Amino acid sequence: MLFNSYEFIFVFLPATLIGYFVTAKINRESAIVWLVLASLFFYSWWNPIYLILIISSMIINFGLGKILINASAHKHRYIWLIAGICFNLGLLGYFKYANFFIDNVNHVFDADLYLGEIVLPLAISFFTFQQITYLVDAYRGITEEYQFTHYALFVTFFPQLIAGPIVHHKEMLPQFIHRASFKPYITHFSIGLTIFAIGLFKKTVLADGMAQYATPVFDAAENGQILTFFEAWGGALAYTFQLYFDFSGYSDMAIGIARLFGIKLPINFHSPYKATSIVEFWRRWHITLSRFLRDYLYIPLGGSRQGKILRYRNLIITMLLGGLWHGAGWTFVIWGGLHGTYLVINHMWSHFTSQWQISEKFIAATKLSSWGLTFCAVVVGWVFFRANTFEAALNILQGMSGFNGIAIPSAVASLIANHMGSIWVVLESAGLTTFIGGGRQFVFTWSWIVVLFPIILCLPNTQQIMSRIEPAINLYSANEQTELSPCSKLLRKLYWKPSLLWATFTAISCTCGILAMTRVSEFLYFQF
Amino acid sequence: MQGKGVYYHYCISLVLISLCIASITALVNYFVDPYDVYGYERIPGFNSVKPTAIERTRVFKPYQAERIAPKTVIGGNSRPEMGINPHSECWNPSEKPVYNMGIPGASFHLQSLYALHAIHTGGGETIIMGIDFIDFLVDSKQKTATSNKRNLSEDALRLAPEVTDALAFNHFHRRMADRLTTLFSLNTLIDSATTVLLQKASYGATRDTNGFNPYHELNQITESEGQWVLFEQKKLELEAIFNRPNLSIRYSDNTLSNDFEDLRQFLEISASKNISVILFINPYHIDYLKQIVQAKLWSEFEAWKQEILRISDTYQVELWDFNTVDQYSTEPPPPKGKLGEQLQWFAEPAHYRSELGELMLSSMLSRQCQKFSASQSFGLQLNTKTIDAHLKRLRKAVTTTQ
Repeated sequence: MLFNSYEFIFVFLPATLIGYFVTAKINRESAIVWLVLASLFFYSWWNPIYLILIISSMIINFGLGKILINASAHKHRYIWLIAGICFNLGLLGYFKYANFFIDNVNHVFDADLYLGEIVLPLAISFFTFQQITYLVDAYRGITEEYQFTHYALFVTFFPQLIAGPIVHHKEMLPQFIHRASFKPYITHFSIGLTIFAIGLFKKTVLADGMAQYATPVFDAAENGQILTFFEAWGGALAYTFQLYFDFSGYSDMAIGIARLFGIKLPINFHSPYKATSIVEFWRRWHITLSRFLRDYLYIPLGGSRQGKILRYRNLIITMLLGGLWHGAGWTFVIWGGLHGTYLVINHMWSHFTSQWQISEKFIAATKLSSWGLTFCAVVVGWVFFRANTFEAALNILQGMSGFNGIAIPSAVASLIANHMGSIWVVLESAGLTTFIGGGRQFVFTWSWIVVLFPIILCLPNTQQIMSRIEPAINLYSANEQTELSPCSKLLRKLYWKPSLLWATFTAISCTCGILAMTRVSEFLYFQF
Repeated sequence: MQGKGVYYHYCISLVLISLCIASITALVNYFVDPYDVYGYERIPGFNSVKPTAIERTRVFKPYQAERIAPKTVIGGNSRPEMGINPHSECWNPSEKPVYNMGIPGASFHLQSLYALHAIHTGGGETIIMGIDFIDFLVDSKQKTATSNKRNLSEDALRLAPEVTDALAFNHFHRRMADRLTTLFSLNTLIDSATTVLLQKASYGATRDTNGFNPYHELNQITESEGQWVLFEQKKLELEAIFNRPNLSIRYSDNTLSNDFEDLRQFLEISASKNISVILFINPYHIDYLKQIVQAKLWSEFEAWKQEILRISDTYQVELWDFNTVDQYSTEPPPPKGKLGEQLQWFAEPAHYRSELGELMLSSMLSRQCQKFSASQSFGLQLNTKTIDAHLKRLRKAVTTTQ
């Protein structure tokens, strides 16, 4: 069931909320059981068969966790931890990577192995990571759990089950059992509905609106069509915006829904496209995944403790595996490797320039160029992330680099020529050419881009707007030096409060979001 | 933190304002009726031109046809939709009202279901059905379908259950969804605004109340870019279509593509309901015919016509072929840069203008009704005795014409 569907908004969510607060009047445990059952129903909406998988996975992980907690003094307990991690990664490996592995073996050894079609169970990447964190935390003695229903709720809590935010047991359990969570509070409803409305608007109006202009360009690239400069950049930027509004919209909706139950989830985004460096970008993009990769991969690999060279190696390995986590394909690995390389270059540059003193008058220019470079690097990365094949990605990058010429549709050219003849003469003499067809697509793509650029650069994000009433946990406090924020003063005027003006704004967001659901689409991160 | 009362007011305001916005949206969408689903009055300067309906023909045409209750239906794809005019003077009063049920981009299966739906709603007697070579092509490497029974598409569910054999519930559900999604929709609201704003635009795209596509856009394109653009664009599109590998009218086991069975079923149903059918092969500009030759699909094209004739003969249905090489199909397109000039008979290689449609109606209905003086009759009724000679003549003419 999708958050952006009528059955979720008008049936499942109200029914689950009512059931939760009614059962909470009986006792705490029955409310938790209700929420677990509702979450399993939510999950089974796609394919009930995978209930067996998620339930067995939870039982085994809960059992392993219990062993790790009970045997806290046992010197060989790390074996149980390794067994648990192997079990989780084995499950993920089979469902997500087995066919990828077989395809590569076939390719290298010219073999003809065939495993059959393996359907990727929804959310397996997310609930696998979440359960690994639990086992590691239990091993480290950071957390403990003795009630299976509580553990099941930690794994299946439906707002974050499918695509995160990836949560830690120790930050969720205290909230699940806190007395205040079992009573309906009007403050929670106000805040939750507002955040949900903003997220819904981002997803159904902005992301889905942009999607129709990204997909044809990537499809054309895959079919070998030659793309000119504006077409290629139009497609790449359209996907850049689509992905951000899609995933951050989903995260907002998850945070908003959880808040209706009195639960605060960790934030996942903090205006990543404002970042002036790649390091900063990764502090703001999919924050809970970055946290996982840092705490459970990068630091165990040695982090930055063993010198610069090993630090760079660790960064590259972490990002390569982060890329692979997103999908079983070489384009994801390349995307991860690219970002690993970006990070290494960023760290080297920071080290190299650490002693530099930049004059006041150059600060703005430095920031702008840093932002421009970072943004372009991210867009190039997204091309690999979105393209189905390496060749398609290269095709788009070739177009973006201008090697296929700079052209606009003849319909647009004739419009310019008819109304601004002298400008067209200049453009034509500068090498601008025309192509037939695609005028409407071109105009709409670039209109969307022109509208969305100020939104990502100038407007504060959901957490900033709601920051006075603590909308989520682990809020990110940005340093002004690390972001390009041309309208930072705007935030002061946009702090949320329960006023008529904000009710109107939220109602517009919510209604537009619901009215835009006539074309229902899945969230991009569901495929990971 | 403010008092609870403020938050209560906030939530209540949020719900009430949301309801107001949704209601206003539905009212605007109903009265502007950008897709002509509700048949609300077309008021000049307000909503008489429907520029955004053109991408939703599958949604609105079933409803439009029900309002017209036609005695005669024009079926097919986008070619008859803009080529055969229900307003033509050719039609006798007993044949009116006429509705154009051409559905752009649809398979022949869907085209035939839509045509049957339209004739069913008016208890009509005649369907004039355009057929197209491209709609019958499949990948010859593909294995034949095990069953010719097609799954009904979502689009077909809104058609009369008597035509589609769909469950009444599915039909009701689809129609309710159509109503709700055209009223409570942001896209429809944007399209309503676009509709109102574009009323004054010259040559706006639209669909008439009788389903006809008057293709006003042709005037706009010929004035701004020249008609050569349309020829060039279609050439590229056809190249992409004809360059697909293994195009054929048959599957790998030599059985005919499913579309032939769809045609047979369409004629079978029509015969059982005493509906008279006239089939016609859409006219193409010589550029189109030459592209078929270049794609090495000409023999397939001829085999297609033979098979169509075989099926139409079984049901004693007239079959007209308007593929000709004459003054109509060989008009040279205006050169690049030539603005404001238009061909008399074709909009582009694949789409003929209603002026040519008049000549076609004149032939098919056996009446002298065209406004334009034609020096000779247009098209040929095919039969088993004449087809071979006709195909030979056409082949020679296409290959020898420069």
